Amino acid sequence: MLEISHLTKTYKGGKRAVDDLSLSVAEGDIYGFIGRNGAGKTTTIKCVTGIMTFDSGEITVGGKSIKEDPIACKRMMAYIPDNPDLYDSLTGVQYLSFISDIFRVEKAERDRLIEKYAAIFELTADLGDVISAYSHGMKQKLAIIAALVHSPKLMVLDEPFVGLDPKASFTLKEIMRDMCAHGCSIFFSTHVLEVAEKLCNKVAIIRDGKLLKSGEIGSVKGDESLESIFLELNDDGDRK
Amino acid sequence: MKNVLLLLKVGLKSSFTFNGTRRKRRIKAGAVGATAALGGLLFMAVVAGYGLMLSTLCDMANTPELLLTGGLVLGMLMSLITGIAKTPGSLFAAKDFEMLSALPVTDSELFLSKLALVYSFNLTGMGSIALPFALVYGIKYGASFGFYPALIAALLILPMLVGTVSGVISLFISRISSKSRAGNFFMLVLSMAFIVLVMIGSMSMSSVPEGDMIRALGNFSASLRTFVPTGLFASSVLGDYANLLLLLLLCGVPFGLFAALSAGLFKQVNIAFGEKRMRGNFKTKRLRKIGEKSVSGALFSRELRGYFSFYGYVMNTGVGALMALIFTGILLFGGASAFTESISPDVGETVVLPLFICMLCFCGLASPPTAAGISMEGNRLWILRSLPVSAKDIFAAKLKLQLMLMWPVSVICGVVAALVLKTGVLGAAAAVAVPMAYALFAGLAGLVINLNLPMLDWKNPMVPIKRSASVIVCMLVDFAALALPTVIYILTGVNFLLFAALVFVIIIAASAVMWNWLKTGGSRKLYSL
Repeated sequence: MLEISHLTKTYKGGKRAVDDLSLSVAEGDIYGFIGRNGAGKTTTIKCVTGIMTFDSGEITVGGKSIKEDPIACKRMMAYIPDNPDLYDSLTGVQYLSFISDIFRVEKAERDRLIEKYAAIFELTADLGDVISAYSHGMKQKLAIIAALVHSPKLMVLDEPFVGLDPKASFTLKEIMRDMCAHGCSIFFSTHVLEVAEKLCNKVAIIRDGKLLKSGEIGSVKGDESLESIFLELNDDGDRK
Repeated sequence: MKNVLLLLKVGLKSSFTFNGTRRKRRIKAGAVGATAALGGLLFMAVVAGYGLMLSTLCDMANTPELLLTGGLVLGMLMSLITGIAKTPGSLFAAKDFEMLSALPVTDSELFLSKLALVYSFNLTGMGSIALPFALVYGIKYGASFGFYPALIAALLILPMLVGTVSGVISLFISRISSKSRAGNFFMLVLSMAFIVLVMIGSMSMSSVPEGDMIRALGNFSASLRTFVPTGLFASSVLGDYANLLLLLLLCGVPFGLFAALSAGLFKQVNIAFGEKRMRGNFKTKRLRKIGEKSVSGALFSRELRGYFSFYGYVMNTGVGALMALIFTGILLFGGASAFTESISPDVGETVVLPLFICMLCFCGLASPPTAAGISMEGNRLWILRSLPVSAKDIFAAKLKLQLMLMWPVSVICGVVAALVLKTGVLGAAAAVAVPMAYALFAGLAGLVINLNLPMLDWKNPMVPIKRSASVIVCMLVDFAALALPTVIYILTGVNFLLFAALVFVIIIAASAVMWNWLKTGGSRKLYSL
């Protein structure tokens, strides 16, 4: 579903944020992307979602290149950023309608999905209020509903559990599992290694823009915990 | 007091300067600041030139003092209009209120700093007009040495009076608006209504009914001498320095009363604006009533909602449309002669159509919302960039906002002008098409410039609207695009309709070039910001 080949991104000023990174997310995968702060996770995600251009390499979504056909790629995916800065002047329902209009979700379907996910995330009563009045967690929930309302084939999430209350966090994990069981693919970054260990079937560990290890979670961590492997790989990198 | 000064310094800095942390940014900010300062000086030079022209008429009417009193009245009006537009957002619905009230400063210190900020706005607005007029008077008529210190003192005192009037109006507007769920909308409508009232009132005052211009000037000068603030101002700078005390009483006492009154309400009104109204009563059956939109419709609707929900954005960019409607109203109800008098007493009716079209074009060019359209996305730009929409659709939605503001106004004003001035079909076409073309040009130029000079890392949304390089450069480019053909027309005196057709073609061609760039280079630029 998502193929990243030899992705390289250098910022103005010369900092290489992502260096020759390659990985593959298949249908039904829950792919965890882990790394320290500044490792290049968000940059990679922004390149994948077409928010940011990149220097070299290739990214394809459902076989289509994000460089050649960004609109077709974006139509297949949903992105949830780490900090949900949404349109403050819109109400929650206006924002969801806006997203539905852009993704051309049919009226009956959008109403059904908004109703369903707003109820699941306990946001129904607040949908008529302006987003500027929402708390951080409520904005995060709204961003998640907006991502789900157009039934994406690929979900790209940047630290999706930050700011969510425990119940919403649990609900999101359940939704992620359910979506992947129905053929959707999920690629998400996280700091919470326990979550990655329990939720993902594949993980990739990134450090200084370079991929240290990736693949099935069992093969990556072996008999150890993901945490110890993560720390070990990063310590090795520090020594080098 | 130290805190008040510190808060005032920060307020002034964020209102008038162009900050930059890195060296490159500092250089850019310095260049923009210098351009803005140069623009201000040029404005004052133009006002002084106008004062010099008026002084010739004053000589003929033997009313040299009219330069002082007339300049002051113009300055007060200018200050009043900008005061009504700015005070609600600065004093009673301050965007930074929550942040500042979290600092270890007392409410009264915060209030005093905001009041001082409003005073400085009034001082700037009034001084930029009244000072050049007074300087022309001082130089031309060889005023005594005491004239200048008295002038400075009087100009420091008088903004208090204007500040009180605009402050009371703003307090009234803010109080009503803060009680409403649609507070921003109320504040917008009420502010616009008051500004229109002030402008119409001032224009009717300047439309002197008498046919004899010299006699009319004499009468006008006499009436300004009887108007207490202008009378006291003139006498105090002309040697009766004791009147400065009376002026201080006249301006200071109401200002003090207003300060005392609004100090109690300052926190209350600001908190009311800052409180997020949560109803928490949405019912899913309301979903059924929400219709579907096309992609372009959804993008435009979002632009529209964002625009009208922000008082400062509308007040700073909607003024062109408002001005065009006011001028058209004057033309409609007062005829061509009323229009010429409101511009300049010696303008003949034969040039009304070219002048009117020029003014409509000017209104269409005055701060288009697109000049800050990309910057206003701020840290939410990720949404547009991650959606399956082309950059062309995004630009089109932003452009439509400018066109929605100016095109209907251009059609209405152009048709009214054609009917009142009996211009015929070609004249009507020029009156409608040329301002529409300029509005399109301004919208596109705003987008092109903003893409090249974006400001996305703001915390206060007023910053990209008022102080970004994009807005200033866009204003300069737009005015140059109008000034150049105007000067050529005045110098060559060619057939107006032919010239208008040529300008129309050039402006449309320039717009086409810009649109073409937006679709290619602009699109790449949007994703590399």
